[in-house]
Amino acid sequence: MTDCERLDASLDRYLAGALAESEADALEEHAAACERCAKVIDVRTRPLYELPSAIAPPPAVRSAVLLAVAARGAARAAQKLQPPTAVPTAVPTAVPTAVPTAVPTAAPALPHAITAPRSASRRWGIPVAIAASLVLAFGLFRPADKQAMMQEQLRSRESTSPLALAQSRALGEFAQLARARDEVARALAGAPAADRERLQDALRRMDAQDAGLREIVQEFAQ
Amino acid sequence: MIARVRWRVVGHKLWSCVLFPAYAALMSFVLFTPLPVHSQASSAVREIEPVHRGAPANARVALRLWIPDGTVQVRYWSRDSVDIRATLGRGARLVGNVAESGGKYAVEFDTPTAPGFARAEVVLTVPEAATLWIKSTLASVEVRGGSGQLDVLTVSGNTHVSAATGIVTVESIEGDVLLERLTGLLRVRGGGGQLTLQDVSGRTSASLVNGAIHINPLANAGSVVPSGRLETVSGGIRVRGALVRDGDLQLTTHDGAIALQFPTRHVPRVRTSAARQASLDAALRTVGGNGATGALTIDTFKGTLNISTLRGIP
Repeated sequence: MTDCERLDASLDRYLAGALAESEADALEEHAAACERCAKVIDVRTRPLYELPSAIAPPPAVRSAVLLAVAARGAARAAQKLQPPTAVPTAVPTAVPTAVPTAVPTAAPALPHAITAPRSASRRWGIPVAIAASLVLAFGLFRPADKQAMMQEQLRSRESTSPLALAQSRALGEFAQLARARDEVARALAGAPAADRERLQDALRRMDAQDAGLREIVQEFAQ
Repeated sequence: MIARVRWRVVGHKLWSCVLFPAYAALMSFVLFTPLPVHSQASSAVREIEPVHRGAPANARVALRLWIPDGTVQVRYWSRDSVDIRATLGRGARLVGNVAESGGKYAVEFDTPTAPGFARAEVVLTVPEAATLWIKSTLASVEVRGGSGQLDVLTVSGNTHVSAATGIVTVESIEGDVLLERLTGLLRVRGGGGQLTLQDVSGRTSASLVNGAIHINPLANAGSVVPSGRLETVSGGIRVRGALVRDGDLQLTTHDGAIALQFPTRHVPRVRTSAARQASLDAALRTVGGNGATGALTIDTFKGTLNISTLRGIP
């Protein structure tokens, strides 16, 4: 196992502070020398630092997750309610074989001839009908209802909590700031000395903007 | 007979496989579909109730106003008193009061669990030098006049401040901000709303993320561009008009476009990064820049830059 693989394997425990001191030291020593591993640690730790304690989790993210879970759960429920695939094939095969043989033979056989196909269709038809109606009712309408209800609930939460509304509306602004900051940081990495001060200044300004926006959001917590 | 028998079989299948499921599904939909929350809540703002209160206050009274949704109009007068008139949405109430030196008014719901924000239309009249702090989520705020300090904080509501001479601070996450005929110190912080400055000559500081910044000239030639610093990350900046005499203005964007339009006789000195200064100087020569009225500093990471003259304004 290479050092990089060892870091990947123990990164979660390292970030959780569960690694032995000697192992943590070895990992940090390796990360200091390995650009790839330093980046892995940076990517895993940076968003944690950037998340404000009172803002997480963002409502839009929560709504997306809840909706996805609801849709998947409803799809699974609908799948479980589907009849076995052998059921539809059994009905047609039973009908043609019973009707021609029973009808020409004798009149008393007629009721039996009638009941044979009817009993076959009843045997499968009613469960199929119930299953189909349940699939239609819960598979088509319920998830839509659930989604609409959840959206309404989230909207309702945003419409009763100023902080939730502020957080939700500020998400796009934070994302845009983060994108712009990443662009400047990448440019700074390869910038000539003459441009470095200007780019560093731009980064500082963006950090200040980010902090300012967070202050505005936090005003609605009071 | 056989045809009848087959018809009965087919009819039974039709009923069991098509009509019954469709009927059952329709009934399930009708029975289990809940009413949308907003249709239950919408009645909350249908009924209205007017409220009128007044209180004596000193000339520099400090007042806080919290209104979640609706409209706020602020007017100033030369009397030592505060007057508030509110038309309240159903279930909302006006709470708080004002003493000589300060106080607070808030529009709240009777029941904290009521859906939606309490809505009201408020007209507040305060002494000329009063200090005001207005906080809102969705309400639009309109303030006219005043020489004291004004702070407006909103999420989505629009803000319009005009003819103020004091210190004005507007913070809005995505509401538009319009500032007109202001001479005091201005500070605007926000996210996605647009900031428009018209005939603003005070020292101005603005910082937005996605919001655009527009400095517009008035209809006549008396257009003024403030001094200060305006920055936006991705919104554009458009400056139309002449800088105040000896003024200095810094414009900063990340990828937002910058468009400058000056009166032909009032083109300022314009500086930008070393890499773009040569092309900027060439553009300035074409519009006849003489650097007579102030200095402009531009810094953009990758936004475009366009300079031209304002037609019809010398």
